[in-house]
Amino acid sequence: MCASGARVVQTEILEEVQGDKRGVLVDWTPVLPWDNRDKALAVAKLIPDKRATHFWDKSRRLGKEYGKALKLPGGSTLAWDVYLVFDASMLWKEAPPAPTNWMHQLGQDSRRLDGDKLRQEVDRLLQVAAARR
Amino acid sequence: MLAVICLAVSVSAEQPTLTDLSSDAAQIKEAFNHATGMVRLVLIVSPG
Repeated sequence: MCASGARVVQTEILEEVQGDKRGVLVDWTPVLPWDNRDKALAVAKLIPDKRATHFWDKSRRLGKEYGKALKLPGGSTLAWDVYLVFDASMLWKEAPPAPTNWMHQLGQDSRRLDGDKLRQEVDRLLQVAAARR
Repeated sequence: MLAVICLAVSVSAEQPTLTDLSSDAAQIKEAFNHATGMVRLVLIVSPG
């Protein structure tokens, strides 16, 4: 599931446009019994773009934080297989910031990951950022 | 010609690096704030 989401980000968000003002932070985190750092390093190749930065979050810190902040399908308290979009002006102060928009692959609802919608949202926020400059 | 092909394969298979997060996730916070001015996408994903 997550691998397919990673491919969506690589193909829809990064390959579409080169050299613009978009960045990707990938928080690889253990959820399934066979997840580990070596596997994360291997699948990081799914997003080889230089604008992507990869992290190994062994303690699942980010998933726990956003599990509390987001209303996830099924009442899950661990956020994973989630895709968070942030406005260009957003700053991370004490707690992780609330996303401007987000999608997931945890169930079937209106927030289900859709590559076209994700690209449109990123493009919309890029236009907002350009208008501010 | 062979050398050119090998170079192309090498570039396409480039391995991203993986940064270990501390318990307070300071590294991703720093990267996030460093990229202010960019639209940022944060993925929380399992490698499985």
